Amino acid sequence: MARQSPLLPLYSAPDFEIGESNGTRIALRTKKKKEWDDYVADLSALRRRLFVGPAVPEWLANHNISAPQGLLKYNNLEKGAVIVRLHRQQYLLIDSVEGSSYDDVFSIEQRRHDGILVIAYEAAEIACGGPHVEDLIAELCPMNVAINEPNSWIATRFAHCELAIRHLAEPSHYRILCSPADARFVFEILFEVTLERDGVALGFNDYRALINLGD
Amino acid sequence: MSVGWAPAGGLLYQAGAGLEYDTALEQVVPKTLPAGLYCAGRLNGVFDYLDQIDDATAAANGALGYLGFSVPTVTRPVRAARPHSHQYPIMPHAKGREFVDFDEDLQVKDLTIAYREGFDSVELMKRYSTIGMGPSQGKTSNMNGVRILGKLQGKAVQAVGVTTPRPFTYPVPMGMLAGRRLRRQWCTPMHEYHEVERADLQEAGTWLRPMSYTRGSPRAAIEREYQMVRKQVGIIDVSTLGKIELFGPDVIPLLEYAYTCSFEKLKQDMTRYIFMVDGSGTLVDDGVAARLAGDHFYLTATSSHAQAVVRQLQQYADQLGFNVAIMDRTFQVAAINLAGPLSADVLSRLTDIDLSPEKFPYLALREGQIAGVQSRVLRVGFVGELGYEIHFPASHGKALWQALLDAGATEGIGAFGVEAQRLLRLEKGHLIFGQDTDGTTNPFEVNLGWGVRLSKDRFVGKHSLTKLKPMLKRRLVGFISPADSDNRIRECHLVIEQGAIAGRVTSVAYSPHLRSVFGLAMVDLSLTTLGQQLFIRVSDSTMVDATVTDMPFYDPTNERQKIHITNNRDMA
Repeated sequence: MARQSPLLPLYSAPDFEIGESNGTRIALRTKKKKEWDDYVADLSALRRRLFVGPAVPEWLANHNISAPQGLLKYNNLEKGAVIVRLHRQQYLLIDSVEGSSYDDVFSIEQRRHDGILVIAYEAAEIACGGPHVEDLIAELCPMNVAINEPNSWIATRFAHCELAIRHLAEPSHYRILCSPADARFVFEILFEVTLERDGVALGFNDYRALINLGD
Repeated sequence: MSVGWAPAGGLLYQAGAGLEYDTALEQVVPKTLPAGLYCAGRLNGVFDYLDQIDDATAAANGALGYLGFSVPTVTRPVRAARPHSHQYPIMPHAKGREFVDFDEDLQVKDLTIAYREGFDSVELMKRYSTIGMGPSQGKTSNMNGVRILGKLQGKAVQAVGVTTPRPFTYPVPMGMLAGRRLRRQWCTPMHEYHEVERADLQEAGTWLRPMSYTRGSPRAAIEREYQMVRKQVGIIDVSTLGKIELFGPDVIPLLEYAYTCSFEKLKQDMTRYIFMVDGSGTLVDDGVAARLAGDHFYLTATSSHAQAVVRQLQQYADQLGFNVAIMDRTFQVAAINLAGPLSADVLSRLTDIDLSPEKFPYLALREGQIAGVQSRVLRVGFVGELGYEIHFPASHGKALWQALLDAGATEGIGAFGVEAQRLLRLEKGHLIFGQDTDGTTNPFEVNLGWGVRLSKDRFVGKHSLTKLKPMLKRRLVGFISPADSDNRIRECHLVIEQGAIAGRVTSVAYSPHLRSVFGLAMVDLSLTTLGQQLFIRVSDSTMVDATVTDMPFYDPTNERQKIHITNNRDMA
C-alpha cells in the first residue's frame, strides 16, 4: 500500500502530475507554464531512517557511513545524503534526491537489526529557493539562515514550529524538515509568502530538474 | 490586604476623558467625554442590572446619533446611591503586612517609606515604588495606592490625582503589530478525510480533531455514532495520542521510577494501563505501556501532555544516568481505534494476525500487516466494546483508514468523533485526566489505588502517596439523575450538602443505554455510599437530585470487550 506525502492534499490534481517516488504518492511536476523566481517544493518522498542504540556508530561504520560526534552535528555523505546525530543514541539518515549508495541501509524497515533499532522516520521536507529565499525565510524564522555554511543543518523555530533547516549549495537553496503534523501549516505559510513574490509551488521532479538531476 | 473595586477606566483616560472621584460611590466616574466616546455600566456608576441595560442603550444610541443615525432619546438612569467599594479598603494585618500591589509585592509600609523619602506625588511614588508596573498594570492596586497617598498627604482622593494609563490597556504581542498572524495547527494523517466528510473540526490544544461527522444536528450525529459503535463497528482517528518508544538496557528501571505501577512482570507482547504522578502525588498523565522486549517498550500518553511526558522521562533518565533512548513518535505514528462488536470481523479481512481470543487475548499486542501496512495492534478498550488500537506509520494514514472503511462496509462501519467517544467512555466509567482530575487529585481519590505499587523501592511520588493513602477525604463517584429530564446538570456544577459545597460534577451526559442523565462527581467521603442522594446545584441555582451508583454504568462485567468473532453477530 503506497504511502502519501502529508503535503499531497495541498497540491491540486489538475495543476500537478501526481505519481510515486520511493513508494510515496507525491506531486511530481507542475503543469502550469509560468515565469517564476522563487519556489517551494515537496520532497517528503525522500527515504529516511532513524538508528537507535549505543552501537549505532559502529554499525554505521560497517556500512561506510561516518557517524557525527556531537549532538545535532551532521556529516554530509555521498550525493547529498546526510547523517545527523539527533540525540545521544539517535542518528537520522536522509537520502539524497538522486538516490544513494546506501540502498542496503534504506532497505531495512523498522526492526531490530544487529542490536540496534531501525525506524523508518516519518517527516515532511520542503525545499525553497530563488533569489529572494532568504527574505522569504526571514518572514517566518528569527535566525539569519544565510550566515550558515552550505550543507549545514540547523535546528531552529520557524513559524512557531520546531524544525531543521539545511542550507544547500549549487544552486543555493534551503530544505526544511518538519514533523508530519506541522507539515500543512509550515507549507501553507511558506507558500503564502512565496506567492506574495509571484513564486510557485513545484513538484518533486521539478526540484530534481532545478538541481540538474534531470527527470 | 487591600481589596475593593475600581472601574476599568483605562481606555477613557487614554482617550482624553476627564474623570472625577465620586465620594458617594467611592469610585472615579466620567466627568467629561471627548466627542464620539460613550460609556455605560459600572464605569458610569450604574450597578443595577436593569439600569445597566438602559444605560448601555443610551450609550449605544448616543454613538449611533454621533454617526448620523436617527435614534430615539433614552433617559439615562441615575447613578447608584450607595458605594460598591469601601472608602479605604486596606485591611490591617496583625504583623503589619498590608499588601497593596500583589504583582510587585508592595505593602503599605513601602508606599509610606516612599512618601517619607520625598516621592510624595502620585507620579514620583509610582516610579520609586513600581506600584502599578506589574502584569496587572495597576488594575488591582492603583486606586488603593491613590487612597494611601491621600491619607499620607492629608488630601481627598480627588486632589491626589492619578497617573496616566498608557496604551495598551491589555498587553499586545509585538507579532500582532508587525508581522504575520501565525496560528500553529497540527493535522493528523487522516485530516483530508475529516475535511471531505465535513466533520465538526475543533481545536484540541494545537490539534484539529473531529468532534462528530455532522449530518443534521450535532446531537443527532453523536447519537448516531454512539449507536454505530455499540451495535456494529466504528473507527476513530486517535493519531493525536502521545506515542513514546523507549530502547535500552535501563528501560524498566526508568519506567519503574517514573510510573506508579510495576513493569517487571509485564509479559512480552502484553500491555497494561499506566499513570504518572508528580512529587506531591498528584496525577499527571495516563496511558498504556506495551512491552516489545526486555529493553524495548512502547507507551502512549494523552494528546495534551505527550511532549511534557517525553521531557519528563528524559529528565529522569538524565538525572539518574539511565541508559535509555527515548523517542517521541507522536507525530510519526498514526493511530486508529476500531471498536464495536463487529470489529474483529472487519479486521480479520485485512490481516493474517490470529484474532482468536486464545492467540490475541485482551490487553495483548501483536505486530503484523494490516492491509499491507506493518502495524502494532493493541487490544485495549476505551469505549467499552471489543476494540483494536492500530498504530502504523503516518504516511499510510489515508490509505489504511480507507481500507478499514471499505472492509467494514457490509457491517455498516463509519467514523465516529471525539464527542461520541467521550460519551462511550463515560458509560464505562473511564477517566479523562484533566477533566475528571485536576491539579490536586491523587490516585486514591479516583479509584486508581490498585495501580500504585507502594512496595516498590522508589518511584516519583512514593513518599507523598504513602502519606496520602490513609488521608482520603473525597472520592470520585458515579451518579445517575433520572430527575434531570431537561439535561440541566453541567460539568463543574456543585454538589451541595446541608448548605455547604460537598463536591462538583466532573463529567455528565445523557446515556442512551441508561436513558438518563449520568456522570462522575468528586464528592466528600461521607457522600460516596451507593444509593446516597446527591443535590446538584444547576445554573439557575435550583437543586437537581442524583443518586450515587456503581460503575461502570455499561457492561459491568466487561464481557463486551472480550467477546469473540463468532459470538459478535449474536450480540450485535
